[in-house]
Amino acid sequence: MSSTEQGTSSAAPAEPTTAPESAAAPEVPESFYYVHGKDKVVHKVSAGALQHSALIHGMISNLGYTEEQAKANPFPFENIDGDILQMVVDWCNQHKGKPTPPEDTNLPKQKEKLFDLVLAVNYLEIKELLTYCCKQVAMMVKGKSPEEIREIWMIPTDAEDEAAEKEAKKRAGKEAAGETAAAAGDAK
Amino acid sequence: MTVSLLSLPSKDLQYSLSCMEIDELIALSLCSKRTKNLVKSSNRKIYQSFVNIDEECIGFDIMTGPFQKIVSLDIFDSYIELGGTDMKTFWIKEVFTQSDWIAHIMSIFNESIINFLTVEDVSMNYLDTVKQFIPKCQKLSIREECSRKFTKIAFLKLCYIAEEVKIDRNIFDDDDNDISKYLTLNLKSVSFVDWENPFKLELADLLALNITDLTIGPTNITEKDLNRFLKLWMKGICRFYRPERIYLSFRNDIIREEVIRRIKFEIVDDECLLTRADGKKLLIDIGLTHVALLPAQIMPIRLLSLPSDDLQYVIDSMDVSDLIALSLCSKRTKDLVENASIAINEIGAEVDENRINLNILTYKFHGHRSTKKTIKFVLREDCSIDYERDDGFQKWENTEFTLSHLIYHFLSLSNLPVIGISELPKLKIKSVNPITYLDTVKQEIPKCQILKISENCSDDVAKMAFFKLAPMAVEVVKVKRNIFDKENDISKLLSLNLRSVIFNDFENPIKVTLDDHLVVNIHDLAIQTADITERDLNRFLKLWVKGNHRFYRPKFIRLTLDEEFIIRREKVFKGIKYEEVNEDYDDGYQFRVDRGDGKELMIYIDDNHIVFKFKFGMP
Repeated sequence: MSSTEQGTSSAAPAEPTTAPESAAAPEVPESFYYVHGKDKVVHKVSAGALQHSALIHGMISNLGYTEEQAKANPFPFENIDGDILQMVVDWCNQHKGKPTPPEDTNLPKQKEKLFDLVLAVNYLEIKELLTYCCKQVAMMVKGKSPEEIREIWMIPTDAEDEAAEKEAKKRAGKEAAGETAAAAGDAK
Repeated sequence: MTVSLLSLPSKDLQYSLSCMEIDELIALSLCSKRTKNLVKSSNRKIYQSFVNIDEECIGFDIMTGPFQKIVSLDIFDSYIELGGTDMKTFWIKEVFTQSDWIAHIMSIFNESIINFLTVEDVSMNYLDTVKQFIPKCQKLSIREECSRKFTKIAFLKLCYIAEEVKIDRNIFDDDDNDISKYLTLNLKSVSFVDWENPFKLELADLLALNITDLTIGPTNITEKDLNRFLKLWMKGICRFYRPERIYLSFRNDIIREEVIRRIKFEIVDDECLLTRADGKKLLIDIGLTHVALLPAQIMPIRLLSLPSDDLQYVIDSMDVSDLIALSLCSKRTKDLVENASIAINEIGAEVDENRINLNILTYKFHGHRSTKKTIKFVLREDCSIDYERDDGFQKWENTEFTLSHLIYHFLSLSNLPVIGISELPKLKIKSVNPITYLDTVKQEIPKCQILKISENCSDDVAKMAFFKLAPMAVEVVKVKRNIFDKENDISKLLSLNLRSVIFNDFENPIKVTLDDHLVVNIHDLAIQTADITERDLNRFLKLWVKGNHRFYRPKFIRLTLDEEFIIRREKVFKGIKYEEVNEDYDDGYQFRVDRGDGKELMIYIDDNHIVFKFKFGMP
């Protein structure tokens, strides 16, 4: 579970309204870190939950932040949409200190977000979640015909690929010709 | 007073450009190539563009922003007339055609799409020209005043350049029901509206619909047809239904109960939500005079844009049937599947009555384990191809591929050794009915490596299959039963110029005479079980020694006689000069017979088994 607040990457986030939930009461006080996505909404996540992400785990180890420093400097992930980051944070919190079951029912169900989720999870290096997401992507075409797969996975036909390639070549040719003409004009 | 504009510092120059109106920028762009590039680099945007196509003059209106003034240009070959001013202004470029003018304007504003395109009644040939100089537009409308014939042709010619097509008259012939061919086009958004002439629409039209967003009004489709459509949708008939929105309006009130009669649904926000067994949903909004059908679509994702590791993981997570389907999507996906951990170990076809089953044996590797699966495609009597699935998923029907395309595809995916890329490794004739279906087989499978004619085939079918199909077998023809009658028509088959033939029937020995032996034209012939006398074998050898068959083609003849029969060497070699050789001399052959022209014949005899190997026997 996570809490979210409006803020900016530079501003320190306020205390979360609800306490983070953990599977077992920690004996030593748990440290927390802060992350935000494109929407600048800051998420408070425990160090245990963030261990799922090899990228963030590496950042924490390298920076050696204290909790105060971490609070003042949330990790910025400007390339990840806020709602996607929220899903990732939720998942990390739910699986804090637990192995991921092969069929994880607690994982995001929104198919329309799947592509962005895969990109985000790949970037954050969360191996278990990535595995599950890729399986979900594979499941999208279970039992489908090539025509259906083309639509579901937006795969261009050979003719479309060839046309796009031709178009790209044409455009590159035109741009090159334009540049040559401009250079010649400048020379005059 | 003149100013050397181009000598201004670049910031000032850009500022000057930003102060200019759109029409002034167009005029500047026409001065020289440099000024054209300058205008282009100013990145000025057009808010909306409207093009009206008339053969004599193309109207090009440019809106610079919401509630901003419109710049109207009348484009002719070699000049543009600028409208909206008190004085008539012309810009002339002798070498420019209408097409060049449009390309120029689009280019300087870095635009690739016209927002609104309207077509007047122009000549049919001119429509092709339109397509060339306006490759893309957002909305296309064809004037109501145009004839039905013209509107139909203009629609078909231009619909693919538009994201949205709007036709404000009923152009369809109700008797021919020609609306259906327009509805099956793969288009994004089409609107047919003519309140004076309702559109005739039937259940079949809705089922075949391929337009993503369709509006038709008014239509006279019945509630009963709509109800049947919904029932068929629930049954999964339109399994992958492309439309995302169908909006039908009516002149008369709709009886809601009739439309949703005996259909299970739930009410969501006053609309009916149908949920099918496979989880697909369809939302229906039924008003007094309209019905809107909104099939919920799977949100597509751009698979090929995934990072390569993730893409590979997705591929690895797929099962063989889905990988096969993916490989057929495009060349790029085929390459992806080629690198996946699957192997195609066998490809074969079986002719069963008037169908051809194409079977592909595949293995998918999971670390050290592998799973085996046979993929089956069926070419049906109506020449359509189905992919029959054994994993509980509905089969694909009427796939877009031909059998030869599939054979080529799977051969190139496999690592099977093939001489020709479209050579099917195995073709089995299980049964054929009618016998003329053999011609279809020959057409669909032009070459194979091994042809097997099954024991289930009737004699006539087997013989005909042999005559028609044996020449296309590159390696071997196997006939699994004695198909010859007492007339001893075996000689007709033996005289065919073939590479390798095996006749196999242990219960009914195949009668072979000396004459049959002499006409053999098969490179490698094996008969199990052969009914031939030692005397005939002896006479054959004598004739061979005399050189009667100088250009005898066979290289091997292998005969297996009845298992109770023991071939007596002395009877076979009676009166023939032969030499016993060491078994190491030539692959275990025991005897050698030489002839005057230097050719030699190696012979192996073992109980009921005799093999002739003709050395240098090939012409």
